[in-house]
Amino acid sequence: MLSRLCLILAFIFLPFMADAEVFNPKTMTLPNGMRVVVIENHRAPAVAHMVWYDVGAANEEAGKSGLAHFFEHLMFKGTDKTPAGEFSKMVKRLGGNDNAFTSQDYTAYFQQVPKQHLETVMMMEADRMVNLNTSDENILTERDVIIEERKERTDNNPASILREEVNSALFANHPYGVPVIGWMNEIENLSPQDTREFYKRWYAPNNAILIVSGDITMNELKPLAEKYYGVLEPVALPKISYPEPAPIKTDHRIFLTDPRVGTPTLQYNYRAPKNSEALQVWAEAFGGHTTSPLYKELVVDQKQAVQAGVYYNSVSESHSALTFYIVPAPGVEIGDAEKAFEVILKKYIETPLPAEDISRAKQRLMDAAIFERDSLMGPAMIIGRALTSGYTIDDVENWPDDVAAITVEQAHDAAVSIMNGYDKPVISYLLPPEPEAEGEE
Amino acid sequence: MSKNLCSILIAFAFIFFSLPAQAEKVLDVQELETESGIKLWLVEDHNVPVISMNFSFPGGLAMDPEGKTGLAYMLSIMLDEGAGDLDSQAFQKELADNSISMGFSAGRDHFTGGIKTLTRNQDKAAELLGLALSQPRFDQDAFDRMQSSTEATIRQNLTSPNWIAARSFNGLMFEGDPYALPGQGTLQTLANMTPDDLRAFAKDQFVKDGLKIAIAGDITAESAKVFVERIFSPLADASDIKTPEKDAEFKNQGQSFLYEFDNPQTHIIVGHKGIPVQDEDWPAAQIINYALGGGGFDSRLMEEIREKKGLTYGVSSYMSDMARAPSIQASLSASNDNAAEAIALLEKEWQRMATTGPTEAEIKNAQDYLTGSLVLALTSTDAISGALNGLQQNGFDADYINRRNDRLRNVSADQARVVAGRLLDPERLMIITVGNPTGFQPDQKLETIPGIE
Repeated sequence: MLSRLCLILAFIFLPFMADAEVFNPKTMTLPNGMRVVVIENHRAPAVAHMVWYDVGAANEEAGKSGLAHFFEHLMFKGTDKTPAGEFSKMVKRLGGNDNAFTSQDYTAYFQQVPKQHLETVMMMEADRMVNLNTSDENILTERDVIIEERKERTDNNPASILREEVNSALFANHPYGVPVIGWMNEIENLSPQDTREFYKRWYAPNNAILIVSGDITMNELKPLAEKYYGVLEPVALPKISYPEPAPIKTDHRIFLTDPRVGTPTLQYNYRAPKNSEALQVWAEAFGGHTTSPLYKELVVDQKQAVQAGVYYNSVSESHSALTFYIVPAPGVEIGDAEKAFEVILKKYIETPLPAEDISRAKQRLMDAAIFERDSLMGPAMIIGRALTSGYTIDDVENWPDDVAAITVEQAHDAAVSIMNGYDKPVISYLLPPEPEAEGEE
Repeated sequence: MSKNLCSILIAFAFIFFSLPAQAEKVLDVQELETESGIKLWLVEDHNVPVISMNFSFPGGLAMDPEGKTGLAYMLSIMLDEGAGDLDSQAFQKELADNSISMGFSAGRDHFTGGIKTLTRNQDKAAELLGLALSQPRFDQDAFDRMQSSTEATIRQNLTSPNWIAARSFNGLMFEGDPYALPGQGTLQTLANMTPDDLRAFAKDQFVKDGLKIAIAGDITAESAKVFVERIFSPLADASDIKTPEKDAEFKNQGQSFLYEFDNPQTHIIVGHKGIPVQDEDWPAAQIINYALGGGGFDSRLMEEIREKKGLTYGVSSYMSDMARAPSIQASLSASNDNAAEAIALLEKEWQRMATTGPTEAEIKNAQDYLTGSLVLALTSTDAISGALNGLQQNGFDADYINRRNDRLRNVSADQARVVAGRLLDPERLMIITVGNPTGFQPDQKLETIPGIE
């Protein structure tokens, strides 16, 4: 009785929720082409100031993997006004924190500061967009840091090593098949000249988006944006286009056995289209929660696994992936857990998920948007990722409407078209070594 | 052993709650009491229709019975697995359908919990959390599932070099004390646990004596009192369990250890005894730690080891506030060929700071950061309630903030130099290495992971 009531309530809430604005951002574009977004949040006298560049690892030339990320580090390596290594120190001394990150599609820099210091960090950020003059020596020392970073993030970690191989198979003939951090042999050969050409080609106001979130209005921000960013010259940008990833016609099963693995993991990776709300709803309904069919059947009822879920990142400039992950229960053979998973998946490809599971998933997704508003960086991150992946502010603001409108059939069709589609999945196995006694027969 | 939630919250509180006394009141903390006498702190904030609450009970891992190490951790992952008439799936469904996040953590000195809900679902949130604390089911089926899940986690930890390094640090530094035991237990102690153990533990752990509560968000004082009363009033007033009171002894200081492990990098953790948060020198210690390795790029360790030499991606120092064993530690990972040089540089900087203390400029920079960044901690409801609960756990009152910041601002160069000498001693550093560090000569090689049978 109670669950039925919840269901009815959910339907009552849907239209109401769908009418609400998500972040209510204000936008403008400077004459030089730089976009400006403000998301007001007056809880505390603080702001998050972000500049997103619409360039990422996917835009690197062949053979120069890791260059976008390497260059991100060099943005802290000095202009005439802010000497090498001083940027982050200056932000700290304003009572702020700063950092940067690089993905396949974008590179972003941010500072969180008390409101009164916004102008200072805008001046510093605008300065390094065009005035970087890093010495060769500093560039080469930073390359050593990147090499350590690759070891720390990837080479120390068998799951990360396996992920690189999975992406290579999933995105053959496409830049997404190359890791953002870069292949070690290519990182080692990146030159100061490479970084300077990259800077000249991609770093310009017309390839950048300013997003400020926090205790600020567009009226307050506009004159500052014009003063610091508006004066910078636009450049002619390279045209971005991506090849189609090669079709996956053969079975791909990738095994990594490593002594650093104590618990095995299985993943089914399907190449998927980007920006599919229908797939997002299906993935959340099928495996987004411990009460979803995947976890309930595989973990709770059949006890074949201790973890099971699905991951789909809809925001991407080109393609995406749908990934199922399973951690077999101790004592269960990975092959048995795999068979059980395949039966469950097949069942829900043949028969649509129950309508109740779909509507519950939609409500969870829409509620998540409200929680994002309960932070300074959350809304800025979502809007930055969306805009650098080719979406509009309207796409972000209409997202709850779009999610609400997805039908059971649309969600089902989205999943079926991938699972029964042309491309085969890339299946990966992360395995501990066989115990020695059993290994010798 | 990863740092537990409560110490992170406290650290957070101390980094950010450092405002000059003369500044305007940044947080309006209401000190409230419910009908039955349960106390809570509240920060009303109606910007977003969200409510967050953090709470703590003294105990946590310190209450693990002998031979059942990891029981507090097991309790922390079993509380949302069914309560009252709701079995695991029914309880999880109620949480999911009402978008309520509920989480628990077994810390070294406290058992902590947090809940975050949309305003419209606050009654349901109170009902579910109240049930979880007062009427947990601990059904055998759910217990078996969590036991399996924990076994998988422990097996993965045992092959992870950063976990082995942290485990070795606690296991060796606090040898013989409950602090030395692995928080999630071992495969052996895990197998020893039963749902009845959890029932007994929960009964002793969840009592009103020592309970601290902080709420922030879209709720009025009257509603907050009702919310708290509904959740906590069914709990017993007190229990007769005892947690350790005597300070833990520091063992193996000045010793270096190597656990050989085939990996591209060596994981390194160093540390020795520190000073407690209640100590009058704590603000000076915060400033020294910032200048040494707590200030990110604005610290000596980062400057010397990463920026000048490129030997590591990151290095940091931090003060751990475990109640009976405060310590100061630093950690990094570096290529096996670079590890010995990185350790030597770290020891050199430790010595230099111990001898001369931070410069006047470093003191000012640290003060500017520690005080100025206060507002950055106030941008989400759970950050506010979490930071406040951290202060509560250490016994500070709601007015503590202002007194504290005066002291931070008033730290002089002379005082900082004296405290640096008291706080830091490279001779006492215990050094843990996990990897194959070229040319590093440890005092002792570890054949097994400390604390693990």
